[in-house]
Amino acid sequence: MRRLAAAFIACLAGCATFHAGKLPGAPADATFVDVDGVSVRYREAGTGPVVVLIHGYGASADHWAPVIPALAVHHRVIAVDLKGFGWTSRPDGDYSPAAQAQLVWRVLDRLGVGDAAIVGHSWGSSVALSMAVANPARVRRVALYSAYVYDEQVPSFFRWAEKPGIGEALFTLFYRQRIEDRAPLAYYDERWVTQERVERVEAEMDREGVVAAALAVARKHQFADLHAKLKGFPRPVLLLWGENDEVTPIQFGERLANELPNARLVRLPRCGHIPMVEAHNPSTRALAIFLAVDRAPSPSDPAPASPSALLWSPASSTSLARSPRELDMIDSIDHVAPPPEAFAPSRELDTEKGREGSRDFLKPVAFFMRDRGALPHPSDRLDHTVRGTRSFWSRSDRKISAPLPPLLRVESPGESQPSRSDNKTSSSIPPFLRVASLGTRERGIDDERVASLGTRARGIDNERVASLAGGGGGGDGGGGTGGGEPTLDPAVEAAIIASEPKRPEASEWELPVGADLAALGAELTPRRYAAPREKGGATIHGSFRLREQGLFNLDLDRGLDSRGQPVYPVPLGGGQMLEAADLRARTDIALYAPGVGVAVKARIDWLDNVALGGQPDLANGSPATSPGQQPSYVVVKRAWGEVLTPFGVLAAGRMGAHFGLGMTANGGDCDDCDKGDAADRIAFVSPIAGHFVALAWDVAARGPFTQSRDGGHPVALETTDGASGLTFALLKMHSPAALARRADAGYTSVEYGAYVAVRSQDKDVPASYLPTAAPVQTFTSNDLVARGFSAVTAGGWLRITRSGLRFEAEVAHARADIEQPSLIPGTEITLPVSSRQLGVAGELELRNAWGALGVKAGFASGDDAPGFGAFPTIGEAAPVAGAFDGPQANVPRDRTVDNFRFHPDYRIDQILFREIIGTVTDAIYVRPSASATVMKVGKGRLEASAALIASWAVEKTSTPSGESGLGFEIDPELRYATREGFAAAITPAIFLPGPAFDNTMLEAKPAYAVRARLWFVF
Amino acid sequence: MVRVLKSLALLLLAACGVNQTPQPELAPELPSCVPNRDGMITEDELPIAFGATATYYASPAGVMRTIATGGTAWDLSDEYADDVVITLGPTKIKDQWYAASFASAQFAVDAGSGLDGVYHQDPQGLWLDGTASRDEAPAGGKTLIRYAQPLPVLRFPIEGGDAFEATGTITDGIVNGLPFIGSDAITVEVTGDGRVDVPYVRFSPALRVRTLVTRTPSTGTPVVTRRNVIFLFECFGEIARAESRTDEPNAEFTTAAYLRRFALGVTP
Repeated sequence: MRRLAAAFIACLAGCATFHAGKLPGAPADATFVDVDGVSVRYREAGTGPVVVLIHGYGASADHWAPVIPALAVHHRVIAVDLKGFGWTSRPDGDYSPAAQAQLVWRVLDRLGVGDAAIVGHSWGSSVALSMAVANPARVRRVALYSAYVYDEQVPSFFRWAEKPGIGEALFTLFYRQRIEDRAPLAYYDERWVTQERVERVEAEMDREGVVAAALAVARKHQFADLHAKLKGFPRPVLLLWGENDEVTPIQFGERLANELPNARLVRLPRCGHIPMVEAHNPSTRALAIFLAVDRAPSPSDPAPASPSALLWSPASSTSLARSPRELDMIDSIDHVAPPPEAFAPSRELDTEKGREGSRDFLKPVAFFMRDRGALPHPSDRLDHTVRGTRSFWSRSDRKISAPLPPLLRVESPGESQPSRSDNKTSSSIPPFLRVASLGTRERGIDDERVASLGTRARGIDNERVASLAGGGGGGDGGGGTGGGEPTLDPAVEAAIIASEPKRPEASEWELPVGADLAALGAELTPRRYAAPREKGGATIHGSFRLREQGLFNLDLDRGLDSRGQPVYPVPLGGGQMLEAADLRARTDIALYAPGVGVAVKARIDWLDNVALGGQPDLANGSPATSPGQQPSYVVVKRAWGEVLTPFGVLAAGRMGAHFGLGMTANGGDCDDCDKGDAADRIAFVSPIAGHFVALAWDVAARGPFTQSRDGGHPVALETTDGASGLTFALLKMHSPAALARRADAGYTSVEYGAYVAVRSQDKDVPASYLPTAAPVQTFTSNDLVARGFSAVTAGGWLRITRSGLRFEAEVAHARADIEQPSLIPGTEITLPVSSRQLGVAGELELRNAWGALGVKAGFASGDDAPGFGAFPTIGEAAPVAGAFDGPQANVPRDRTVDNFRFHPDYRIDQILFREIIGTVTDAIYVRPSASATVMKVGKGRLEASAALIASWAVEKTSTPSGESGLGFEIDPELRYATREGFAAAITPAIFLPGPAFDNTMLEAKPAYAVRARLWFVF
Repeated sequence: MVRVLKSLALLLLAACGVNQTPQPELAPELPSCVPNRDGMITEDELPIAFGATATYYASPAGVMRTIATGGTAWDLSDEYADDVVITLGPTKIKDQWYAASFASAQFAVDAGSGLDGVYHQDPQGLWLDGTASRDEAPAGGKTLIRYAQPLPVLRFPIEGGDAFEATGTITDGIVNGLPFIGSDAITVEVTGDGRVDVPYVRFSPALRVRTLVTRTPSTGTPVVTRRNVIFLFECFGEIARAESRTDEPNAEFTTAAYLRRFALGVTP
C-alpha cells in the first residue's frame, strides 16, 4: 500500500514538470527577451516614463490589456509575463517574488530602462514591492491592484502544497479544474465572466509546465521578509481595491495602507478582484492620475488653471512625495465609494427615476419562478437573484442586495456642490468623476448609466465622456474646465473609454437543478484559491408560499374499490368539493466561519405546509369562536456543515438529496414542491479531471435508541439494524451561469452524471416503527428480527443544452432483495422478496424570446399485483383485483415489488399523478406543453402556459378496472412573476379519466382542480 | 375521442350532481400489540380484533394427516393439495340467532362442522361459553350447548408448565336437534414454547396447548374423548390446530383427524 501511494505521488510529481524552453504556440508578434536562461515575453507600448505592469498569479501580461492603451498615451508601458506564466518559459528554479523581481529588473536592464513606476496586481504586487525594495532608487512609485502580499492571505491550499509530494498531488489534480467556477470568485458581477475569458484562462492553464511553475510559485508565498524591508518605504503607493474582492478582501488593503507610510487606498465599490475590468474606468483613471506626476506635459494637456495643475507639472514628476493636491485627487477618487448611508437602495433609485433605471443591472434576474421555479438550496444563494436559475453554485447574494453604485457627484460641469462624502467642494473632484445625474440626464445619459458608472461606465460613449472630462461648459474644446478644475488629458480619457471592456448581458436561461452532490463541491471549492476571510459571514434566503386549492370530484364518482376505499377522500357532506390551503415559510441559512472554507448551513421551515385555518385556538370553546391560530412548530429539515480541504469538500450532517431531474432523489426545492429529500450523510466531493467525484455514506435509518446516562444524547440499541450504504457519483456539470455563458457563445453543453448506491440492513427492530394502538416503548433482544436487505440503485442523467434548446433525461434502476420480509417479531417468512424497478424521465424544451415549446415523457415500471402500490401502508393486507392501491408483494404467491415510484416532487400534472395516485408509478406518460409571454408588466412578466398529459398504466392489473388507459389531463396556467421576488399563479386543471378508473357499475367522471399560489422570495 | 367528448359533457353535469362515491369503509383497527417473544401470552397479547381475519389451510373432513406434535420444533409446513382455505376471525354474536342464550359471551369463532364456539375473555382467561350451530335450523338439526359455568379454555398469562382442569355442566343442551344433558370436562396443559413451521412462515416462540376434552352424557351414550393441540403466538392467536381421532389414547398423537394451519398470502 505504501509503495502504491509512493508510486502515485511520483506519478503526480512527474506530471508537474517544468518547461525550460520557449513555449510552442506563442503568437507570431510576441516579443521575447532572454534573461538568465529564461525566455521572457513582454508587451510594450507608448513612449515616456516607464511603467512596468506585473500580473497576478495564474495570469499574464495580457490581463493588462484594458489598462495599457490609456497608460501608453504618455508612458512607455512594459508588461511582462513573469517566469512560469503567459508565454514566458518555465524552467526549474526560484519562483519567489524576489527572484521574479530580479528577473524583471534584468529584463528592464535589457530594454534600457532606468527607473520606472511599478504596477502590480494581486500576487504580482509582491513582485512589484520586491522590485521596489530591491532597487528603490529605480522605482518612482508603486501602484497595486488588489494586492496579495501577506502571509495571512495565503489560503491553506497553498500551505498544504508546500509539503513535498502533497503539493504535486494537489496541483496536478486540482489546479486546472473548474476554471469556470473559479472565475466568478474574482468578480463582483458574474456577468464579467465571459466564455471567452474562461477559455482564455483554460488555454493558459493547458500550456506546458504551468502546473509545476504554479506550484513553485505557491511554495514561495512567504512575505514576512518583504514586509520587514518595506518598513519606511518612502515611495508613493496607490492601492486600488475592489470593495467586494473575495480573493483578497479589502481589509488587507486597509492594512497595507496603514503599513506603508506613503500609501493611499482607493476603494472601488461593486468591484471584485479584477478592477482593471470590473472597475475599469475609475481604476484606470486613478492610476493615470497617479502616474501622471511622472510624465512631461503634453501639448494636449489642459492648461494648468488651478493649483491642481501641480499634478501635471514636470516638477512633480520627480517628486517622490505627493503634492497635497494630488492627495486630494486621490481622496476624491476614494470617494467614489461614499459612505453607506449615501447609497440608495436599488428599488428606491428605480422608483425615484420612474423608469427602468436598474433594470439593466437586474436584467439577468430571470423569471425564476416561471417553470419549475426554485426555492434556493442553502448553497444557491445567488440563483434567483442574478442568474435566475436554480443554481446552487452561487456564492452570495451580495449582487442583488448591495446598494447601487454611488451616484458620482450630482452636478453639471461648472456647478459647484459639496461632495456628499466629505463635504469637500466639488473643485477637489476631478471633472471626469463628476458625472452629474441631473446634468447627464440633460445630456441624454440615462439614469442607469449614471448609476452604473462607478463600476461600469460602458454606457457612456467617448463623446460624452470627452465632453464631461473636458468640462463641456468651458467651451475650450477640452482645454479648460468651467470651474478651473484639473482635468485628465482627453487623449487619456478617450483611451480609457476606448479600452473599456464590454460586459455582456447574461442570458435569462432557466435550467433545472442538477445534482446535489455536485453542489456540495461547487460552492466552496473555488475558495481554495482565495485569501482567508477575517470575519465570518451569513446569508439568509427563503420564501413564503400560500396556496389555495379547490379539488373537485377527485374521487371520480366511481364508488369504492375492492378494499372499500375511494380513490380520493370523499367530502364528509357527500358533496364534490374538497379544498386545501396551506402556508409555508422557509429559510435557507448559510453561516460562514472566518477563514476560507468552513460553513454551516440549514433549511428551517417555520411553517411547513401548515393548513390555512388549521390549529385554531379553541380557548373560546369552539372553532367558530376561535380568536386565531395556535403557535406552530419550527421544522428543521436540513442542517449540515461543510469544510474545504485541500483535496475537496467534506460535508456532514442532514443535507438535501437531489439528482438530475429529481425523478428519484428530489430536494423539494421547486416552488410548488411539498416534501423534499434530506439525507443524513457524510460526503466528500472533489473536482477531478473535469468532473465532480463524490463519495457519500448515507445513514438511512438507525434505532431504536435509548438515552445516554445523563440524557444528553441518544444511543442506538443495536448496530446491525441500521440501514446505511455508500453512494458513488461521477458528475460533469456546469454551473447554470456557465451554461448560460456557453449557450450565449453558441456552444452545445453536454452534462451528465451517474451514481451507484448500495444500501443494506442486516437486522431490524420493527416493533420500533410498526403502527400499533400504543407505541412500544421498551425493547429487548426479542424484538430483533432478521432482515437481510440489500439494494443496489444505479442512475444516470444527461443534459444537453444550447441556446434555446434543452434536452434532459434521467434513468434509474433499482434492484433490491429482502431475505426475510416479515415485520412481526418472532415471525419469519421463509421466502425472500425481490424488486427490480426501472424509471425513465425525459424533457425537451425549445425556447425563444416569445415562449417555449416542450415535451416531457416518462416511464415507471409496474408490478402486476392489484393496485398501483404508490403508498402501501405497513401491515396492510395484500389487495385483490379491483383495488386502487396496496402492497405489491403477497408471499408466497407474489414475491416481487417491481413498480418504480417517481419522487412525488417531480411534478408531471396537477390531478392524476399529483393528487389521485400520489406519484408516477406503473405508468407511461407524455406531456407536450407550450408557454408564451403574454405581456411584461412593470418589472414582472405575465406568462401563459398549457400542458396536455396523456397516461397509461404499464400493468393493466394494477388499475381498479383492469384497463390501461389512465386518462388525459389539461393543465393551463397563468403566471405573473416579478424580478423582485414575487410570483402569483393560477392553475386550473381538468382530468378526464380513462377506462382504468371505471367501476363495475359506475363510469369514472372528470375531475378538476384550481390552484392559486402566491410566492414571496427573499 | 368519444370518451373524451363524453367526459367533457359530464364535467359540466357533474358540477350539479351528488357524489356517487360513498364514504369509505372503516379501516381495520391498528394492532394493539407487537410480539415481545417472552414466552408468555398475556391478555393484552391475545386481543379480540373484530373484523380481523386470518386464512388457514384446513384438512378436508375424513382425511387424516400425519403430524409430529412432540418436542419443541413442530414442522407443520407440508403443503397438501387437498387442503381447503378457510378464513377465521372473531365475530360479534349480537346478530346471531343464539345471542340471547349467551348473555356474557363476546364473540364467536368458527369451530368447524357448521358450529360456532362462543367465547368471552377476561383478565383471567379465555372462556368457552358454549357451542351453537351457525344456522338456527340446519339440515341436521340445530345445536346449542350452554355450560352452566363457562369452561376456561386458556388462563392468562399463558406460559409453559400451566395445567388445569375444568368441567362444564350442560343441563339443557341440544345436539343435532336432540336434547342433551351431561358435562364436558377439559384437561389443559401448556407444554412449553418452541418453533412452529407452517407453509412459508415460522413462529417462535409459540406455545403448545394440549387439551383433552371428555364429553360425558348423563345417560345413554358412551363417554367420548378427543384430544387437540393448538399452537399460539403472541398477538396473533392460533397458528395451527390439530385434532385427534376420537378416543385417541396418545397425548403426543401423530395422526390428526383435522389439521388447520395459518396460510400466508392466500385468499379463500
